Amino acid sequence: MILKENVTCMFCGCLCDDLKVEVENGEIMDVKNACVNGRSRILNHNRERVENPKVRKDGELVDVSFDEAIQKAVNIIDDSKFPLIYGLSSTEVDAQRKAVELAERIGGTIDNTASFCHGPSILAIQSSGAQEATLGEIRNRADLLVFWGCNPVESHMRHPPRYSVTPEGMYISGRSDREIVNVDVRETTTSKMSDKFVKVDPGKDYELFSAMRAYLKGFDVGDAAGVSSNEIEELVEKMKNCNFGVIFFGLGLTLSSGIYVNIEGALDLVRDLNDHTKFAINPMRGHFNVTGANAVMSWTTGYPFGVNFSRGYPVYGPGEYTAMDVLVRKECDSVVVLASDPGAHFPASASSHLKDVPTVLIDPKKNATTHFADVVLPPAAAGIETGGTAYRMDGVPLELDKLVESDLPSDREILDRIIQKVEV
Amino acid sequence: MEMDFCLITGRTSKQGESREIGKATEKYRDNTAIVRLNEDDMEGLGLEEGSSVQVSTEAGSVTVKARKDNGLGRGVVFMPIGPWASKVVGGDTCGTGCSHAKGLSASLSNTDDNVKSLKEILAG
Repeated sequence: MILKENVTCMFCGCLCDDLKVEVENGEIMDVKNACVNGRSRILNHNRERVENPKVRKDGELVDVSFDEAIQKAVNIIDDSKFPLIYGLSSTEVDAQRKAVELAERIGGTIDNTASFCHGPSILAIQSSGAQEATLGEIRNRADLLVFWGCNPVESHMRHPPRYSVTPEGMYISGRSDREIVNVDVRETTTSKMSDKFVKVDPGKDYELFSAMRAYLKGFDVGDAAGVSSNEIEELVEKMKNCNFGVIFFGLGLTLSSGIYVNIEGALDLVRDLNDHTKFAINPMRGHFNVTGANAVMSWTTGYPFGVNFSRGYPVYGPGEYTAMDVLVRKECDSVVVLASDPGAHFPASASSHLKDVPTVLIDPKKNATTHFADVVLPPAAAGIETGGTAYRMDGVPLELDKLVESDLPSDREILDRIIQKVEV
Repeated sequence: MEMDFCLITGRTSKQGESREIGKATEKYRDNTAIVRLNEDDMEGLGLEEGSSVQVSTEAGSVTVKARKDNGLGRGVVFMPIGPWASKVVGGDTCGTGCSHAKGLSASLSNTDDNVKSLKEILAG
């Protein structure tokens, strides 16, 4: 039995890199230190796997060789006038670079899962700027944590014990040195962990940020967004008087009405708070390498998501070249899905177009998109069967581990084989 | 009986754990094809734990199982993200690339329909 230590988890954006994994005869036997989601991902990595490449023939996906499946994918791309490449977030950085290279080579449109997630946060940050902090800095110094529109106890389970709520930091002894606030439209397990829960009316977050900024600037404020003026005053006073505060925000802000404007409200509040104390704001990123997808697209194209290469150079177009819009408007005539599952998570009005056009899926597991796919190319699982790099939710790159061997090629190798064959 | 609600979709630990076991599994459907609502709202709709309930928005409708959650205030219901919730989320992004999946206007009604399997839900 081999014990692999300091293994990086590849479930969510926390990228906890202190896992211990027991490997025996090339199989993963146990995982320690992981949350239930990370443990499930690693221990179940062989369940529901696509074992062989597949091509749809007479309505059924049938096993074929990699050569045949890759040639079929190449034919689909070559015959396409408006190819869309989408996903990227559940694989490693070098595969993401290859996806951008493919998009550039074929003059296609490329988008990652951030567009239906924290894409609005990026739009707001591009407009207002953001004072972010690393999770290490936060663990060592932050004494006020505000979880706004997020529920880490369910979705980023080790964030509170490892980075934010209970760990011992350099200047923070533990839970008793920190105050925890939760702002949400509903009471969750995160509310129960918090010292203070503030219930905001659904869709009224921007109003609450505005009222808080007004109070901070010395104006009298009344009740706002379902929150009493006393609660607003108490909350702002806490934020003003802490030594180092952080707002962690989730999709409660980005997927509500207002979309990116909600985040602008939060960023403006944090900017104003920095006149009084040190305050930061960090998004709670979901897929383990969605932050990497934004980083890679930014280095290579200048833009974090929603990029079109049809003019021969990258053009940024949220709402224009973002996958949901392209699919809902039925503009693309082929789709390459890499390391994501729009069949499960996109609204039906978007995912239904995957049925209408040839779709190539590169993903280790059977998922909802498999039902729509015309070509399925199964890679080795990134972070389990191949190494690589991923970006933690605070933008810190970490190394992924190869835990066990696989006969399957990596995502980057599959993409490279497609790139070598497609027409320029 | 039909009542109007504010619908929120989001992640849960059980949805995350069971998606790794497999999206075609019963466990994934049991943890994902559900709507959580306040006990009083359940009573108002004549629902019991595990009753079938139809959730409808302007984007579409879907049948899922009702689950009690008193963390939700009256009038607010929650569905885990996944193929079932995707039936009632619209695709209008208002030019941002991101559509609304929280704070949706929804109506819930009692139904005798069964919850569809993943294959059935994707077929139409």
